[in-house]
Amino acid sequence: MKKLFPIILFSSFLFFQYSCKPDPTLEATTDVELVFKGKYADEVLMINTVYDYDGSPIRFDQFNFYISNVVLVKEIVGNPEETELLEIDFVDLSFKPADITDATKGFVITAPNIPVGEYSGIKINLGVASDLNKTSWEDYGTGHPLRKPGHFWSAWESFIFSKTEAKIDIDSDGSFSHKLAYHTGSDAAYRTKFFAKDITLDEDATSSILFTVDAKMMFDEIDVMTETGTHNINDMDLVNEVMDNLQEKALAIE
Amino acid sequence: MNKIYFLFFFIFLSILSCGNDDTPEECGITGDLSDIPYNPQNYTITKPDGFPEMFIPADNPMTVEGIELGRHLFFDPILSADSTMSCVSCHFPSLSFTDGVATSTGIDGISGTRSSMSLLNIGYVEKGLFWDGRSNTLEEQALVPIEDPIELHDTWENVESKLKDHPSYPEMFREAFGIEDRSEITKELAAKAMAQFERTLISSNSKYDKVIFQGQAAFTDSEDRGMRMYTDAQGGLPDAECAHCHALHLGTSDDFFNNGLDSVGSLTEFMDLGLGGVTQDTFDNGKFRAPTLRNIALTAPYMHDGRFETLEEVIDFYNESPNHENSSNVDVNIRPLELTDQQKQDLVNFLHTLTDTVFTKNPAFQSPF
Repeated sequence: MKKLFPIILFSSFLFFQYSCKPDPTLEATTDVELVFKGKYADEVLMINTVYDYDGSPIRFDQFNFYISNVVLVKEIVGNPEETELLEIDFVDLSFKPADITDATKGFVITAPNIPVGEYSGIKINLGVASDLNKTSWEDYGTGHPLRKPGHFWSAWESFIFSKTEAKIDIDSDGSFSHKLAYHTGSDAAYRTKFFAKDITLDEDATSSILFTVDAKMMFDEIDVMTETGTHNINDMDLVNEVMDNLQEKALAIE
Repeated sequence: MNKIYFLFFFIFLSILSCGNDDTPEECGITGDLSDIPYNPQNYTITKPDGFPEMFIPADNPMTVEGIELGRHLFFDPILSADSTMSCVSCHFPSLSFTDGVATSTGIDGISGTRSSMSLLNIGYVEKGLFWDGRSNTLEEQALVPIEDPIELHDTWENVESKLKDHPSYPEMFREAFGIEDRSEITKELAAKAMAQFERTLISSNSKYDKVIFQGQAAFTDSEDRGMRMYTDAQGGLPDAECAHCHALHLGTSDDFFNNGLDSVGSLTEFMDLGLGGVTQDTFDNGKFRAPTLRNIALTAPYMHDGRFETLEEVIDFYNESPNHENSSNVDVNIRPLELTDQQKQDLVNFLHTLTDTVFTKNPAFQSPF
């Protein structure tokens, strides 16, 4: 029995030694935060807050958009390898003035369990990908980002990809009577934005990727005096202009 | 013999000691219910075409027994202080669960300030119930009218006592929720039962449903024009801007808006703050829930205060939108529509296609008494 004791002790040591080591087949992961900060030129964006639009007061009622198939990319040249962060989500930058702390902090979407490592860029699609855009808001359960009856347009058979609603006090008389309601949608409005950027995900810390979205740039090169709304499938030219602005001018990575 | 007299005297004293202010336990309203079978049958909501799955809270699954108890409570004046009014007093099935008057009157003859809301498809509401969104769930909502001084004006403590002391409710609570003793009847269980009943109030048999989903009917030319203006479906007709707040197929975007009803100098001047009274955010003042437009032809008068008697008046109001520039939080889609008389009539005709009398006559939604 005395001879058996060291064997049992040694076996136990080996067992604990190996059982405590991480499984080398399991990939180390971490959480990634996508932080979207709304702004109007250099100011924090909030609804019902007055900003300057070419000399006229402007204020926003809402500003939001869908993002789809967001992926981290390894190797820009050759064969890029993509790691999915999320399939679909809704970025709502319609913060109220009472929520200025949240507005300053930004709208945060967390993608859990993303493999750690070095990435060379991030790809964001703006709008709802065509496979999901074939569905309707009623197809989704409570809490899903697509379960928004106010963001589906049955006549378009499309989700509303983005809503930019604002009012301008053209005469600076206190009456915000000039109304802008740019609603975009349909597969043709879908846009892809790629940001080349070294992104390192460490195992021990949540990583944040910061974006800014400048609401003022949504109107760039659009005659807001005459082009006041996009609700109709026949407004596709304007829809495309708005989505181009979101893709090329409003959305940036820090 | 003296012992028998003493026993009667003791029982007599116990009865006398049960005043209105006593709790049921003090009054001795107890009673074992465990001999009554508890075998609740699951109730599955059939999803109509074009409808989402209804969210059912995990702690209040739908059962046949729970719904039946909820229906009894909904129609029973036992919920009011003087036993004269019940939920149905302001929510008639024949009027799509509204009451046909601008503002409802409670048991004390006090008139409220808001119109009774339709309960049609109420189970699909996820963003705050009541005109001002003050309750997050049907279970929360069902608790409110009982103690509201301008509604049923009772106390839940008293209602619980009445239910515990009732000849049939303890058995129904047992069958629905498996309580062991009548003393376990609570306002929370009563609210759960009423919420279950309300979740069954589904309307999906209108002409609109028959045209869009069932292929059993066709719109008239006028109705078709009305729908295309409602949804801004096609060029050549004006955009009536309806679907922003009343998205189809449920007829509501499940959200709150200032539709420019009132002319105010500032956001603090609304007579009724609506959502702002709940959120305490002035930007929400004057915003009210956009109700479903299903069965809208049966739910006059209209708006949160019942100010419009007819659908024609409502369409005229939106066509003019006299206050669209008046306050900073009027929705951007509220603007003069410049509709012709024919176009306004087309819209009204389309709204009538949302009428569902199969729903209003459904025997499962009528009084069990």
